[in-house]
Amino acid sequence: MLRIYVWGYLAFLAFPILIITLFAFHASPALTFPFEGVSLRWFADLWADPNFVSAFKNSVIVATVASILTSILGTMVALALIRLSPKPRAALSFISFAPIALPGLFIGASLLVLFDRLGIYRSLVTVILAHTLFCLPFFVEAVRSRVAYFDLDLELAARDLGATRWQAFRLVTLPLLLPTIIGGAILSFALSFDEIIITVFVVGEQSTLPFYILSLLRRTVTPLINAASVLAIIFTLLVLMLAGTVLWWQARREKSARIGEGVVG
Amino acid sequence: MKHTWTCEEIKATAIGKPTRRGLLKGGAAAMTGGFVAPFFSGPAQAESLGKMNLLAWEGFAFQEPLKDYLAAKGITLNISTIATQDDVQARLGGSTPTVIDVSSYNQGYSELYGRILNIMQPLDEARVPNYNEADIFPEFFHKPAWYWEGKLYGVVMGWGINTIVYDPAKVPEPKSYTDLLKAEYTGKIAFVDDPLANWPIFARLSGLGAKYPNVSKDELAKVFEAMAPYRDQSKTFAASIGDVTNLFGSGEIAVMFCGWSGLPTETIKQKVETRYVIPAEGGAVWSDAFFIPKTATNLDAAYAYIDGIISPEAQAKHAANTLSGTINKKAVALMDDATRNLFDYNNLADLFAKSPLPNIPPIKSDEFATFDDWTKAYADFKAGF
Amino acid sequence: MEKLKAAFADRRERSGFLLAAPAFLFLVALFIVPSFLLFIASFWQFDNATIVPTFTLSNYLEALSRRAVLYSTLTALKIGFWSGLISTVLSFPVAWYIAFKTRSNVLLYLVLLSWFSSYLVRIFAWRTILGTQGIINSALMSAGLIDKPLEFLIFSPLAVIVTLVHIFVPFTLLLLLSALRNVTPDHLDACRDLGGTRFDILRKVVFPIAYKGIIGSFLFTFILSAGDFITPQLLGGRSGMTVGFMISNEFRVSGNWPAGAAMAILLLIVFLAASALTTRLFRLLRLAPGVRYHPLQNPASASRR
Repeated sequence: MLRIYVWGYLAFLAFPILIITLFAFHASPALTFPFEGVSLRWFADLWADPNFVSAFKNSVIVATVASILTSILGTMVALALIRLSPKPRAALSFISFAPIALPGLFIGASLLVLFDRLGIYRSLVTVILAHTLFCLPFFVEAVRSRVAYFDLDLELAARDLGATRWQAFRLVTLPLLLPTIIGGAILSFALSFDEIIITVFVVGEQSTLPFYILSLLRRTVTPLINAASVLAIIFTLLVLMLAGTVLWWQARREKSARIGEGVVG
Repeated sequence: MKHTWTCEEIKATAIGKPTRRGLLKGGAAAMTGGFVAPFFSGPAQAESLGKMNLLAWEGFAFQEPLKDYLAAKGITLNISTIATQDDVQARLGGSTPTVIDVSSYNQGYSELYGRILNIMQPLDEARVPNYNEADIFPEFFHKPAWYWEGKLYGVVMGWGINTIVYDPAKVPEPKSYTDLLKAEYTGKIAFVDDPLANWPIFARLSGLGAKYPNVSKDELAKVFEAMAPYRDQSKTFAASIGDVTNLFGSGEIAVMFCGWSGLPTETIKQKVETRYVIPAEGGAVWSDAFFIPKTATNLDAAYAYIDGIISPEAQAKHAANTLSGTINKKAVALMDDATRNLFDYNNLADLFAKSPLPNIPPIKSDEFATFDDWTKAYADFKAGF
Repeated sequence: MEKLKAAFADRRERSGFLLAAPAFLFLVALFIVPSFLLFIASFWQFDNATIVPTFTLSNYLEALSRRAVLYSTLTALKIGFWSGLISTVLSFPVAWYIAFKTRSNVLLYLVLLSWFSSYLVRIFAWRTILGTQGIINSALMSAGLIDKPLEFLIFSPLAVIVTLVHIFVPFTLLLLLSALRNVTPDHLDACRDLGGTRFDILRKVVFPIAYKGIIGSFLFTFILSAGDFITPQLLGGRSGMTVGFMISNEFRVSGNWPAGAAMAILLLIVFLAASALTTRLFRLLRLAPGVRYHPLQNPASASRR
């Protein structure tokens, strides 16, 4: 029973995406049935459009930098949360969750006022800062439940055995938390890559992919937007697969290294 | 006289298959092109003016008519698209505007942009040689909306009519706006969310057309009261012209209340033939002018771009592409008949005397409803009050 | 070991502060300060198309007196409530399945995949599906179940809610899953051993432990959906104007930041009230632990069995 339900749930999620993908290959400019044959023209059009290429590139840059910044700040927050005593911990978890307890446009509008007051010109940098702010709470939420189970005694034991604080972090804490951190980083990348509600407030003259798609919608809605979305899916899948391979490779290497050490010891 | 395009003509223009007539004219245009060859400099004289940030309406960036010209000048366009005129002040207003080299404004915004927000810079006419008294129709040369205190600020690149567009396969032709209140149109109408297209017509339908844009606050309330029945007839408020195209394409609507008369060139690409019609109440004339914002950094490219756009060739092509009007007398000869017959170029003075280009409501006024009042009332109207 | 532990406790706290510092500063600079600025800006005056920093309450008075603001806020809250509720209810069984029935995360990854398709493009995909001549209507008509298209499918609150649920369901799943993972199989076994029924397990074990995640995922979807203004605009038809759209209009179109800021602050107050109310409701229904006991005040120590 539950299994059937889960399949239904997946079908609900997948169906619109299949429609998007299907129409990305539509030979005619309509987004409605009947389907009139397959063509790659929209991909060719996109490829020929320098605005698409630069928007795509900008989005990759923004999402990459924002997810790295988020992961660094977020990991530190998560690690701080298990170290602090209840009162400061409550304060920290409140402030690091609060930004997503508000609608995106609140963040966008308040950042717009801030940048205006400080005389900071809107550019990809302001977009990156805004996205980091937006992703951070998600990252902390996604990571903290795992970090909560992390046993500080392990780190303590390492220190007891003569490791420096940094060594204890690098050799004990980090390897244990890495899969979670990478999961959070991918989440942040995805969030940033598709963000539009906040972006419209802080974007400068260099547009991001969702902003480019929004511009496309203004004159005419064609499978061009579907093709852009499909390319984005393919790209993120590639990134994911790459990250997965690196992780798997690293896990294997560490395992063999540990076995190696065991033999020596 | 005004001429409504047939579906065949629109289809031909949109799909790019020129009619025989168009082909002949095209040949003539090519010859003229050869005649003004120094203007379209060949590869030997190629320049490299670099990247230029353009903030404009989609379809009004002139990429296609200026393709060779831009290549020869070495200009790459970085285009940001606007959905309403207000997107321009959103990007250029405030204390931290973005860097834009060329943007456009509707004639009604000259006071706001030029004097209040102060975001435009005066143009050096020597750098736009195509803008000269001999070639430009007098209605667009040194007129107050684009020229003040002895300086040129805006160069009009196109003008046209905002009016009703409908799908003849689904509904009969509306002869007047009041026809839209009939049962056969119920739930088949979309407004397009463009104040510039809607406000003058709203005022006219409530009997205040002559007073617009200067109506009192009480009268403003009456305007939107009078529009309530039209709202109840509608299905949705489309976010942009692109959205309307999609709505026609998917058969959701059969009428666009008031908007760009060039829409049929877009819907035909989605296999839906629509027509524009100018109802008894008339259409709303609009014009868009390019200007150079104060934040511009690539002035060379900006000037070259603006000058290229008002050349007869670019104007003729653009008019055909978007069903709009030209400001260049020489462009008229390069047009195919259908495009030329859109407007009565021999009597432009008459046309603009009958339907003058409207201003926006005053920014500050004690007597009349202000732009801000209108914006609020319009938002309330959209929300159902 | 105990001595060492005590000695480290102090340093641990200090290192906690050090670790928190960068993010704390970042959040103060880009969240607390801007929110405060927005609050201040809501008292400024908008005059002659320019913003004058003098104190006035008129922005609030005007926002509260406009029926459109009230109406569009109600529309937004309605959309948010149903999107939040439906997303949470739909995701709960799946989170349960992933947490307790299957060991693998493949299912989760499949769900998260949907994230990578563009939000804007998905709105138009739903138009293709729900449209008057869309997939559902065509299918129902050719099956002979209806003889004219169902009008309420598109340009209605339904269309907006379906689309928002589709967008936010992966987030709710993730939040619910991380909450359910706090419930260990031991908890379930203990309850079963004590003779608890399935319903008891849910009500007396799962909800009290995972209530934060459940409330969180509801509130999260509620707030994000209620604050969304692009989906309602494109799919909501005549009821597509939400307060978020009005706020973004004040900022981006009219340039009347003070009015937009005042409306944003009012909306914030509404959201805070809604959050408090939801938490309250959960307590009243005895689905959350009361004030007397808080078993998971510190999950780290609680889990150390």
